[in-house]
Amino acid sequence: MTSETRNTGPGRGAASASSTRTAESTQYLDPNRSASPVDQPTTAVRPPSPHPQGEPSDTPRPPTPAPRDAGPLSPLWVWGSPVLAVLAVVMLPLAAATTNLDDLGGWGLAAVLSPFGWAALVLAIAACVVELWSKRPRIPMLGIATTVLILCSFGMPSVVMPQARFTTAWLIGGFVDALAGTGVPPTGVDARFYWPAFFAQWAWFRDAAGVDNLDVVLRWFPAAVVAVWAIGVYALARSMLGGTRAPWVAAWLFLGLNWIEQDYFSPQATGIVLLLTVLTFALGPLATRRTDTAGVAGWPRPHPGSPRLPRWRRWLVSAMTPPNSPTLPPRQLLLIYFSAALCLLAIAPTHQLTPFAIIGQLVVLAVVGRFRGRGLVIVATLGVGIYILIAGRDFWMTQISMITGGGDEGGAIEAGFFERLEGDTGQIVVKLLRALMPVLTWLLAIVGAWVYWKRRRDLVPILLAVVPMGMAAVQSYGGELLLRVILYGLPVLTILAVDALRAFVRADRRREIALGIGMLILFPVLLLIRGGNDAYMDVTTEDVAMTRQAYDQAPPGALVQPLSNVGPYGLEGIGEHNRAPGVEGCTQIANDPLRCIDQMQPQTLLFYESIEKEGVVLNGEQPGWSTRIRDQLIASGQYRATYQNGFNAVLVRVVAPQ
Amino acid sequence: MIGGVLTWLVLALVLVLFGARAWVVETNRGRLTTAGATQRGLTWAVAASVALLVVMAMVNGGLTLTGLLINGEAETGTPSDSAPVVSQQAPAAPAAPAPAPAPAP
Repeated sequence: MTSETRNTGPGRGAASASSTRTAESTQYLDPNRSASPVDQPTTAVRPPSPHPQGEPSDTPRPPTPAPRDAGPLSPLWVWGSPVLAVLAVVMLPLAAATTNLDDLGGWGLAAVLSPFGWAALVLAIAACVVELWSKRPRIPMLGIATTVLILCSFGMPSVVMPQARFTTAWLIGGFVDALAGTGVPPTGVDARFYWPAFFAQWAWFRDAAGVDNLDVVLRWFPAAVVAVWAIGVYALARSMLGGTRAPWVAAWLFLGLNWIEQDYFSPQATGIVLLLTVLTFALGPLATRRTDTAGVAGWPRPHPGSPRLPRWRRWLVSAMTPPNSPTLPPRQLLLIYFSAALCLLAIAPTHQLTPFAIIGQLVVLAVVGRFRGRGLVIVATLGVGIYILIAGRDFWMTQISMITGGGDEGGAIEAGFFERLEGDTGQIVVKLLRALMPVLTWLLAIVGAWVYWKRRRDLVPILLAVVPMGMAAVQSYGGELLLRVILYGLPVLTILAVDALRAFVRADRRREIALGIGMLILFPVLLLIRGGNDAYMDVTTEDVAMTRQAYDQAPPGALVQPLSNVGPYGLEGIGEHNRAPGVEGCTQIANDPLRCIDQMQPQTLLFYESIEKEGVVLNGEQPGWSTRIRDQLIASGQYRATYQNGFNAVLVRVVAPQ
Repeated sequence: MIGGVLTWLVLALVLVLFGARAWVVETNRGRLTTAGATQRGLTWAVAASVALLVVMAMVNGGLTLTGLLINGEAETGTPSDSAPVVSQQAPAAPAAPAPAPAPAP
């Protein structure tokens, strides 16, 4: 009920006084305030001044009423969560030392993770739950417990693996490398360079720090950026749900359901931070609600038996009724406008899809009159439109099919799910679990939307979650589109799901135990799903050193290619060593190695252990398949090995390319 | 090129006018004396600048893009987000490989 804590003007003061008082009472943390069966939502506004207007400010404030149960907490509640959190962190180095990554297979990280790693995760969950169950949950402690939970779940790969996993993260690190120094994006290499803000930002950081790589940043980026996302979801949930515990549950549920793995070092990860910031502004301090003086607000009919006015009249009254004004002082409002506009303008050159997701969500909120500052929609639309038109001219002149679809209807769904449903048993199970998670999320959210409607007569949240699905029209974007559509809606979906869970436990408080057990199941499943590809997404320190040495030894402009598109092959040399001639069926050499090598004639060929494992667990190859190709190439006399160690190798062409 | 720069400048003008209008609206909210004339003037200025920006955008590529979207007449390339690296230029002829010592494992 963010909008109810607004100045409603002289004409509506009496009508809204009671609701304003109710909402204002939620500004203070009081776990024993539970007279109403429904927690009132809070807003990110300052508590209202107790002084009536005109009263001198030096009048003593009335004393804050003491909580009814102000007695000391038992040591279990005081020390339980901190001790569990510390134990979880202590387990992490042990997990790193005892996890054998050489055994990574189709089941991914979960199958090889040391018992210490699992213990750390369980302890982190226990730290969160114990603090939340306390009579007086401490916000700083909940924050620390949530941080530990993120470290033990999203950060677990960073803890047990010596380098960042995920090929794309290294490729984007290579994009940053291409911009560092000159600051000019290379042309004709990759469409993502038409949105170079993220690469330029990190190139600037890199140059300013005086370092020549971002390996450490790549490794810890997922945990850090997910922590920022969780803060955004918490802030959103505070506005939409209210209460003191529900927002934390929303943040944890968001973490537990976020298997989508778009948190690697990437523009979209930053784009989602900006998106959540703007959404939090719009649904928090800028939130308003139209008051329908006709007495019947919106459709469908809210109260059984109430007289139904003509629809035209309700629309007219709604359109002519100005939204309530936020209670913030003008300078704070202007600062928020400025920050929101800055975020919206920053998204435009950062990522292709995120601007459209947030603009769509803001349009929904603006149409239903739910936030002040609707000019932000115009600012965002103009900013994005002009950016694409002027700065992205070369992009749309040459790659219009990315916008129009190019006749590839259904491509995103096919690439996002069906084409990925391959591999050994572990791979298939993990991928089916990935498909199951969004279904579970949407089911919970739909129940939550129903609960929200019963409580608030409000359908806007579910609309906010649906809006990003409109982007599915851009079918040619590829399989990751589907993942991002799910991710853009996930914050709102999880908040609705928490409303459903809250209604579920209010019927019987013992059900809270079931939720705790659910959390104990959800996070290990998350670890299984997220780590499912780690057999071929794992990157070792040897891989990185070998790749850097190969680029150092490659002649200027020479083509350097991996056997398959996994591993850190793109960590540098973008624009100089990766301009491969387009050969049909050779998007990766492993598709048809000898023909592709013969036609592409790469100067340097990179072999990683991850390529070998990708073939075995994903493509049904026999173990040792990459070694056989390597031996065949060496035996042909075309290549010689400059480095060999296990499955890792660097082959350099002996015969000059024709 | 000049058209593009001018379009960016007009966008900057739109942002400044939006900011000025927001300042006038918010700082006069709730006062007995409102800045009605200023606010109205800025509203018109914002509308005019947005209209100018739309015209500039249409002249500097908007019409071309619209034509491409409607007719689909464009040289198309492969979407690169799924295919990581797409070559659009002929590869430079590499020099003959120099024998390099094998790195230590």
